[in-house]
Amino acid sequence: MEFMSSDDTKQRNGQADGQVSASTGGREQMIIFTVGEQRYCIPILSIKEIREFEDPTYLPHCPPYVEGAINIRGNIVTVVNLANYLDTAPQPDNERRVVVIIEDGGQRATCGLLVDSVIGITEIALDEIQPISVDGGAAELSGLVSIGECVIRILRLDAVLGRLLGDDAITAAAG
Amino acid sequence: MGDVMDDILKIFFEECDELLPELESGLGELSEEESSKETINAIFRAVHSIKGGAASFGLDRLVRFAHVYESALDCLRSGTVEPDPAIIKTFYLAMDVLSDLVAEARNTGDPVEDSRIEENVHKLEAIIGQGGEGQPASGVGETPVPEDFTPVTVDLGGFDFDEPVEEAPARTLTVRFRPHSELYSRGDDARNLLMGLRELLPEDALGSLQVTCDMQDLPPLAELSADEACLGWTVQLPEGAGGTTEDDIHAVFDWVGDVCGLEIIREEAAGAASSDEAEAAGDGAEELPFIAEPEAAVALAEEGAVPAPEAEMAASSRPAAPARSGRKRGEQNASIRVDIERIGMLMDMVGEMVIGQASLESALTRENALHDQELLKRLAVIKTLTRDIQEAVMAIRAQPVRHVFQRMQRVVREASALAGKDVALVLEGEETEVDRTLIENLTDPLTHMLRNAVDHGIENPEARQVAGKPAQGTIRLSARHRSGRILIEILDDGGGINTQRVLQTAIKRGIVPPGASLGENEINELIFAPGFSTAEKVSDLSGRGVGMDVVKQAIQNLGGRVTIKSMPGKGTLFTLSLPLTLAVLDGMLIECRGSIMVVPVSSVVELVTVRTDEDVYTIPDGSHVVSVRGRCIPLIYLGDELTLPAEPAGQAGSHHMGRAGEAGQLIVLVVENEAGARAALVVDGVRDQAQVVIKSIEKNYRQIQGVSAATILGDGSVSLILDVSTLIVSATKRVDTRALEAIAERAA
Repeated sequence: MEFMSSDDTKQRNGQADGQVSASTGGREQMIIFTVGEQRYCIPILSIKEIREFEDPTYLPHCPPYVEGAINIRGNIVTVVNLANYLDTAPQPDNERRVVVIIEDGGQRATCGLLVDSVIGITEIALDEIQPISVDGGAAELSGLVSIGECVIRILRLDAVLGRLLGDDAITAAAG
Repeated sequence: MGDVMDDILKIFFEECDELLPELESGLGELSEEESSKETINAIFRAVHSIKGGAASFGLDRLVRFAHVYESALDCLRSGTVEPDPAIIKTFYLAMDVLSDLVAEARNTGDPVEDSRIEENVHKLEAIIGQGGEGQPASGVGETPVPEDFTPVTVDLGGFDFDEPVEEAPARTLTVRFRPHSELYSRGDDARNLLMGLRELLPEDALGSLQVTCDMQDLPPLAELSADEACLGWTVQLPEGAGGTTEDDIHAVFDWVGDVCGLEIIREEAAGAASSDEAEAAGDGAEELPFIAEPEAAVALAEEGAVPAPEAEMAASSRPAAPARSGRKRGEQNASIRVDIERIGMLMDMVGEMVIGQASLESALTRENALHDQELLKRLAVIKTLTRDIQEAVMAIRAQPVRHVFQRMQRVVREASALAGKDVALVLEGEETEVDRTLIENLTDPLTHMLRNAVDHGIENPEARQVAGKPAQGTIRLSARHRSGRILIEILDDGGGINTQRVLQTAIKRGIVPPGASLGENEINELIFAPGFSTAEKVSDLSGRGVGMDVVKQAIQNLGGRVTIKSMPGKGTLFTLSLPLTLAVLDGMLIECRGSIMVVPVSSVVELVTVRTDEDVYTIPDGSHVVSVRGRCIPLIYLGDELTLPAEPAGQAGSHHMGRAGEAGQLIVLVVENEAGARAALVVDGVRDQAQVVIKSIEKNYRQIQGVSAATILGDGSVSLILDVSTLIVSATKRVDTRALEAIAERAA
């Protein structure tokens, strides 16, 4: 039980929207993780911490992609089961699951992403990102990027938070 | 420098925020005939301080109006005018103008129309006329004519300000001293010197000490350098009476001799000399270029709290401090301004401490250490302390509802003027304290409800006469504590709710289908439906149809509920029930399918064990009710209601008594909402009772049906706080009340 939340001291410069904006020389540091067989990444600046998975408290009437709520230094944070959210099968019997706590700079909302494992950090060039058409049903992703042989999907964090906060919040964020 | 000015201006406005309510409450006391000289003085002081402050900022419109107001009040103070209702009303209206002018100066309100100011000025001047000629405005011991400017006596806290110095001793020592800036940079203060001089005199001779501040060299505020010493003092004290000699005075200045100019003059004819001094000081003040009027100078020096000294305090440790502290000590209880965010931070930390303490306790329980009597005792001490600290912090944030209530006086005044009705607002229980977050959020809903009460509740004067009521309508606004909540009631003595008309309107607006048959309470509830408004013509007051539903929403957001009771021909009663605080809750920890949840203790009626085969009935629509001592209550299977996942079979404890409990028994928690409706929650067990810190879920998630918030338990896990009211509503909606009655009969 920590007394002071690190929230106050941590700089809130995270861009959680996945719409990577200009950083050093058009490059962005990303953290790569796996959900099921796929690799995904999000901007490292949107991440507050990575925690071991602990049993969350079940939230009544919650959609299947909501795992529950956990306590992070006095704040109630909802954990999203990314496998359910992205509609893929998680790795079976995974003991190494972790929760990536992210914060959206704009909406000031925090949530946890339950992922199968965190692989590492990489720096990607912004102009290498291939856009995905939203009509294709991939509203969860903002683009793809290839690193070597591997295609990594960039997760849209604003969409995750929008879904969590309810549909109204999505329209508010879009408008 | 501009920033400093802005800051000072801000302080001035903050003071206005305090002075205006003071003025209002003073006028309230006047009208209740509890007035005393002190009340009138307080009113006078409030207006005077506003005027003084405004003058130093060149807020001309405000100054001019405040000046007339003050003059009128002076007639009251001098007793030439008696505070009859008409005069008090004039003062009230003038106060509204005054606060609007403050808002105007602050750029937070619309500009005040000149005609309105003029009208009020005329009324005030009429009062002044009544009070007889030759009563120009005068402040506390001051007259506005520049030539008569009197020296300023600094109250050092030891003697009565108002007591005139009559017995001037034959021999007077005049001490002039002028600290150099080095004195201040050493950390010393002119205040210490003044206090040192005061100590030379015996207690009873303190009245004969005269202190004048020499501001001759004080540059305009804009040119004021932060670390320059510009002030000097002239102190006159009787020689010999208490054994004061020149040597004594030198002793006082012993430590500062090299950084302070000192001159001691012995005079025989004290009177003449002191008035000369006064003139000199007065001239000095008059020359201050940044002061618009000499009056302001008086206000500045005398009130001490108006911005100039503030400026100095902000800029450096200027010696204006003694004047300020002297006044403060004399006039009000010691208090400090604290940024609300700091209190919020303290509050959060206390919350964390409560959690920490609980987690310590639960850890010790696990270790079975609680059998250790010594440890148990110490833990109890910490528990008590934690609770006390929590309460103390809550008390810091608690404020009487008075501030909001008094604002309502104006709302009613304006609303009744617009509606052409004569309405009096009676306040009760203004001292009732609630958390300030709640207070801030109460203003809007209350404003709307009171406007509504004036517009719709109170009848026209003619209609009132026909009904045999006094022409003046009365609205009673009261607050009181009840079982951990605050109840605010708005009771008007109007005609009550016209259910027929409400129903017709609702049908016309398509809120209810035509031909619907509704109970009286349901019809009354329609007032809160979005888009409902019965006013035939849209008025300024209400009638835009955005009213009561917004009110209800606002109250619900605060964790409160609104109920209506209409007494046809007699009036309408709106009751708001609100939590005392938005931060902490007394909760009962219950267990259901392996989850621990919190039920607010305030809503728990009883905990009973019922037999499934004898007490539980299934009604035709498939829902269940339980009979508790002859009363049938809808049963809520909490686990099902909240779609809790089934507990893995192996983990079910021996105490587990689920829906089809082995012993054929159910543990039910009977809960009640504000309206008195009950429901029985089927739970697996009750764990504990604890104070829990309310944490918002909605900050990071959406609203959950049946859950109002969450908290963190001792072991650090998240627990949900049940929204009993919505659970009851959903349960009673399902259950047909007629079926309940039938079962009750059968059971009896």
